[in-house]
Amino acid sequence: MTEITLGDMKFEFVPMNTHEAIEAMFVLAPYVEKVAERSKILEKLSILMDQIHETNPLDFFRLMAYMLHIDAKELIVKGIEGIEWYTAFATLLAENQAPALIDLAYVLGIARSPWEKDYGPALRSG
Amino acid sequence: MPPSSIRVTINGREVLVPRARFGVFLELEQTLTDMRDGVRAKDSGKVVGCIIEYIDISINEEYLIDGRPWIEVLSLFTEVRALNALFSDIPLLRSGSHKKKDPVSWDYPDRAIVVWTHLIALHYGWSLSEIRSLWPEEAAAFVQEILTEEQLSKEWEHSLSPVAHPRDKKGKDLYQSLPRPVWMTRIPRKQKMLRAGMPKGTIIDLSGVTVDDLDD
Repeated sequence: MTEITLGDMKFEFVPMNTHEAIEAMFVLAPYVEKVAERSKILEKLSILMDQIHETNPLDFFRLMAYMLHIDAKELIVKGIEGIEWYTAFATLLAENQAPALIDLAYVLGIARSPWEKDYGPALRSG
Repeated sequence: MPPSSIRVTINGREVLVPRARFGVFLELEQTLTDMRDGVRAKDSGKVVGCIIEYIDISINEEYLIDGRPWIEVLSLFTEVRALNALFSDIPLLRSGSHKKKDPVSWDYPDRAIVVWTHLIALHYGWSLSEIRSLWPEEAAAFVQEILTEEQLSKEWEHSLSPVAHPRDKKGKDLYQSLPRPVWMTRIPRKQKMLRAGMPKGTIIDLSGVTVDDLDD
């Protein structure tokens, strides 16, 4: 069983349920869409993590909260070092199969490719 | 043709999922439409509800996927959706206009299901259970034939009407044919590009190059 440590808080990893996963997809979608090469995100999740943290740290906490099954407010605590957040976030993304999550966000139309935004969903259905 | 059923494992139990016949297929399509509305409105509750409803209708059993991890539920959803995808070259389905039409005053929820069934029943006189048990591809072919016949009949009537024959100042007939739906219009021919018209020179791979790498 994977354990996630954040300061003096310890969590046992439990996969997200469908509702949490869809919520996470909605938060992730704008960041995923910004990176033109989709394969890059799937290979290197740190790009995605940096983007989220630099653009809107609140989204970072929201995602963490979905993956830890707690309220985001509980996470905003002082005294936890940046590297610890990153390690926990990376572990949670990996355990929750982030590449599959991102892929499915595209399948469900929650995340959209740039060409899809320009030409509409007609092209998606081929 | 896709398989008529697939076996999936849910919560350690093997379940046989049959491919949807026309009746169930229309219900599934309605669920997908609702799901897309949920995505547009960023309503995660609606999206999840539609995904679970889609699976429940497909496997004809409720609560089987309750509380399962997301990867299991969404993988099952994509698997079942692929099983129920339309395998057809019918132009009516290929044209697929995804533009949302303006609502009409006589609209009601799930009307699309009734419209398709009504169209087939009206022309062939089949019972509801007979229509619902058609394969979706068969039903689509019948609907296309019905719509083609209706269109050609309308075109004939239109050609006899004075509305189709406006005249210019000299009295010349400027015949205007009845516009056809997109799926009935001619398929554009593939344009051949001459070698001379192609770009020339060395191809430089610019992937990974940023603005800072470029000279002024």
